[in-house]
Amino acid sequence: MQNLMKALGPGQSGGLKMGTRLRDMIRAVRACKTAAEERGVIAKECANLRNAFKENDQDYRHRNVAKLMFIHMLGYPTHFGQMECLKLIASGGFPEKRIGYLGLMLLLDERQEVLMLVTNSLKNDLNHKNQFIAGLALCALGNICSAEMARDLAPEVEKLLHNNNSYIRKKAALCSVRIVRKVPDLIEYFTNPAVGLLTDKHHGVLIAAVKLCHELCQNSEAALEQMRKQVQTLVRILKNMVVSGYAPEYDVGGITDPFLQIRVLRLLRFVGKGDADSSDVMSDILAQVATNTEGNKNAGNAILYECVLTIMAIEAIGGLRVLAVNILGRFLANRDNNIRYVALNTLVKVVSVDTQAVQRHRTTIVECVKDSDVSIRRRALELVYALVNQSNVKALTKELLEYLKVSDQEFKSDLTAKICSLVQKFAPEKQWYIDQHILVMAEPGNYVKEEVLRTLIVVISNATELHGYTVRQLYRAMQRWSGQEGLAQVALWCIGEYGEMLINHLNELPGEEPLTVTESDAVDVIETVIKDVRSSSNTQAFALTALLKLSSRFSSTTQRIKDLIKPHKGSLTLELQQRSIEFGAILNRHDNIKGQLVERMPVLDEATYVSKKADGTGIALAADGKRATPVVGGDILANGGPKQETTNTLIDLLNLDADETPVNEPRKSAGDHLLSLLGVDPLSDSNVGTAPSVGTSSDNVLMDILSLGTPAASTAPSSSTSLFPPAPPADPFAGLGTAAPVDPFAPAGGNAPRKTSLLDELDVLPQVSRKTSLLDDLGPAVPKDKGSLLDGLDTIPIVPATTSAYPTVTALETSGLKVLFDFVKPPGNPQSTVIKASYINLSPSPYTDFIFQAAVPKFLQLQLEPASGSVLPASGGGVITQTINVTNTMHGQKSLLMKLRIIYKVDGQDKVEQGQVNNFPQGL
Amino acid sequence: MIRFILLQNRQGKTRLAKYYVPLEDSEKHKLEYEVHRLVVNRDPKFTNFVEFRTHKVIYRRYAGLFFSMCVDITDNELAYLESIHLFVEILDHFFSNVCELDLVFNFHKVYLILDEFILAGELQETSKKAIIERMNELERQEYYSANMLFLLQQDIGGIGDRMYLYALFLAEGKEILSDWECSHCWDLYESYC
Repeated sequence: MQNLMKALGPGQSGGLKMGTRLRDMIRAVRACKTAAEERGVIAKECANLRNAFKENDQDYRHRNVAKLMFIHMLGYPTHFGQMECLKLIASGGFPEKRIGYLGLMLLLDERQEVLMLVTNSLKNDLNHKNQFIAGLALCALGNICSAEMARDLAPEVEKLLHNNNSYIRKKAALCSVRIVRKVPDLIEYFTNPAVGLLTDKHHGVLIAAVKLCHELCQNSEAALEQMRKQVQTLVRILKNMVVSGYAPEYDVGGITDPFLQIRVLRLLRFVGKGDADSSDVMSDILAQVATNTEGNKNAGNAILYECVLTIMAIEAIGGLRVLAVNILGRFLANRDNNIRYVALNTLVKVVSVDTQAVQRHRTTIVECVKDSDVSIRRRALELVYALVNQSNVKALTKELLEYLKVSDQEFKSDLTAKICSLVQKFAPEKQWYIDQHILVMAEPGNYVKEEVLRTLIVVISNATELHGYTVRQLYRAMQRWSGQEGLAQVALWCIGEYGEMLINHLNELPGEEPLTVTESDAVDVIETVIKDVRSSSNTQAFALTALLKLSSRFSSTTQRIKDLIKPHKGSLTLELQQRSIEFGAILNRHDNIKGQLVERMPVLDEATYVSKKADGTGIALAADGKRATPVVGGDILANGGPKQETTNTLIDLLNLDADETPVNEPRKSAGDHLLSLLGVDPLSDSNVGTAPSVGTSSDNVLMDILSLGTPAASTAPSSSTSLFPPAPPADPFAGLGTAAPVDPFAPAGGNAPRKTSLLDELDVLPQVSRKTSLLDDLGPAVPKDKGSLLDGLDTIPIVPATTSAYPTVTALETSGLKVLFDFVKPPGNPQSTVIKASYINLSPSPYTDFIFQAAVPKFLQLQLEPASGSVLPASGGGVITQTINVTNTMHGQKSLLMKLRIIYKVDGQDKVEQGQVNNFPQGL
Repeated sequence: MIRFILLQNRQGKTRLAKYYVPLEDSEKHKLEYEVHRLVVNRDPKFTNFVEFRTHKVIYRRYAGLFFSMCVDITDNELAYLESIHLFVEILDHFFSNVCELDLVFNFHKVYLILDEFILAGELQETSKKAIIERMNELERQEYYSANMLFLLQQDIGGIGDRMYLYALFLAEGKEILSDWECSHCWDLYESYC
């Protein structure tokens, strides 16, 4: 029969002309030489299909859907054919249904509403007396059912669990797995039938039943309790396979059904975890499996691997553990990379249980870090990371550092991060800590993360007796500098702070190699960095600040420093230009306050920093978790949650927003401070007017401004979030920012322009203070909205508007509703965006009680202004507009993202529309 | 749980893609592209496992075809590797010495085999024999009902009678009449499908 069909199958041409056959279409597509040609063929075929669908062509419907599936596989849109699948499923014949269900699974998924329409057909087919048709329906249900369908069809599926056909039973069991995944409330309903299936003879049914039991136990304590009573049954299943002889049907390389064995072992693991009694019952068979299974084939190793995991997880006796660890040792020595991989993978889990056993394999594991296969390397690195303790950190770090020099590019960032965190965690002394970091930073490439640099600086700042040593070591490292940003930044910071120790051999440690550096050598280092094309503007900003600091530490190089700062006055980077101008002004005109301004930073508080950092990362993690669902490309592979879940996250997000809204309030007060700051202006003007030279009185005024300014500067950041410490007033760098208003005092000029120039300075101030001092930046999650200070100034057109026209975006379009977004960028603050939303009703009936809601991920802040109305006239007869203010705290790194929910009433009925907007223009 | 299964050739053309989690089409294409990039250049000596986003991909290469399964991070890699092999054996048996073209032209059958092998992202049947028998049964069922349906819908002269006979014989599992009869019936069936 099979042969006959095969013999006749290909090569026979169709006798009647009824459109192209599937096979001809595939041939035509394959014959295409270019993508354009292929598009042409597909377009033609799609047009034909559309016509056929329109004419409701019954005879060829299943062939058409088959073609559609092929087109879908090629990646072309096929939405127009979804309804055809439903029609095929509803038809009577088996071939139609078969293609119909196939198309349903391929072209649709659980999120489409169309799927609901198929529920009834599914119900009929599940009850169909033909086992093939019932099988098709179970298969479709198991692969794509949604929560609603699961609820509706659970009774049918449960009934089929008792069917006398094993083919149906196994499919029904797996279908139940999907159903309880979607609707956990149904667990209780399925528990008894699932346990009943464990006594089945058929392997297919058993494997499905064991899986179902596992799924139930994972989600319900009651089911787990019931399962613990069934351990004997599971042991028996396993025993049958282990002791029974050759079973041809299920044999894989001499082992009876490894898949079922693995499944059972896995369930035993879950049941035995934390339960001594059941662990006891299963230990015999586990020992038997571990000793009797041959490990020379993949299938055998798969079982051993699973068995080891189970032994390690349950409350096993010592002897069994030893057996498992020995198996792992054998695995680790295996030549096959796959086996070594799983060995490493398991050892990572074992390390917390039995560190001693794993330590024995340390050398092998360190060797694995150097393997050429990235998968092995990753696992091994993780394991090494888990193995390190205070006693072996020096040796292991040395190994890793050596390996860092030769490792692949893409592996370096991982490795660097791991080394840094190991050093941070286990460093026995500070000197070693700093040394290792310098070594890591001195490696070519920019793999050291910014947080690591910040932590390092905090540590350096705290190690008072090592300041001299550190700056000299960094100076040495900088002699071989080849563009590493991290090294440059830390070195510049230290040279700026502790420059004099470089020259005068202060705090020299015993045994330290003496180093003779002149003032101009130190400035040379900075010059190299500032003039190097590889330095980012951030590094250059560090360099400028270091120069300013050195200007008061070194007396002989003042002119050189001035010359180095000067060229950046014309820099295209605002930040650099600003620093250059301000620092230039300080150097040239304000020698009397310079000393105070560039004093050494007070010792940074390590404890606060560490706790803030922990807070910050904690929050960042939480935010990640929250983001997972709404953001595209998050954990997309996770089980597509039921709708309920998404609305929950939506609400969560809304709540979050509500929490964050108070953030906006303090801005006003910040603005107030600013205003009072400005209020001083006329006074100072008059002072300047009478005494052109900066006298004592204006100095007082200056101090007034500074004292006013400091709280203003610190209110804004500290009010926006508590993540980072408020700038201590003693901090000379933070002071720098506020000191800038000094500027307007010197040049004589009319009142009006002077005022604007003051504003000008203020306008950019917060940004200066943001970067001038590392201290300010210490929090890892520094919200970049310090610019909120500016909000009070928004109305004054200081900077020429940088708004560029962003295109209008259609945020949501459904059959009855269209939402358009227009964007305006307020000048001066790149992070904020004003979105003008307009809603248009496309349906013939008017909408009432129209409410628009939006939710955004954590890095965005959202403020909805009241809408212009709540009634939307029919057929586009009117528009509701609403203003949305969005602040993107990660401007430049992430683009905007928003979830929408619109609630309204049509003819007295509530309607809800939801959608996600991710087509925001770039640069918002 | 298996998140998706891909069958790609060396050029990155997807020959089969089965997703057990709902994804946007654009996301699917991106995944397929990324998975192909991940596996295509790996040394044969390397492990058959690659970490992929928050999951891992178990892949195996057969001639120019890559079979990849994306599974949870805690799943037994070796077992899935073995299941890929079993799937390939089934395909090989069903198409008797399978090649890429078989999979292209009979893509719908490949999906059906897969549906007999894996359901809801879990292994359903581990016996090669059971699946092959099942597939043959399904084929026969389809063939039979297609002919019957055709007969009922458009009886073209005497051929319809012969088709009927043919269909009956098929249903009974008897050998077929003459070659002439066969080819005509087959023509009709082919043009219909």
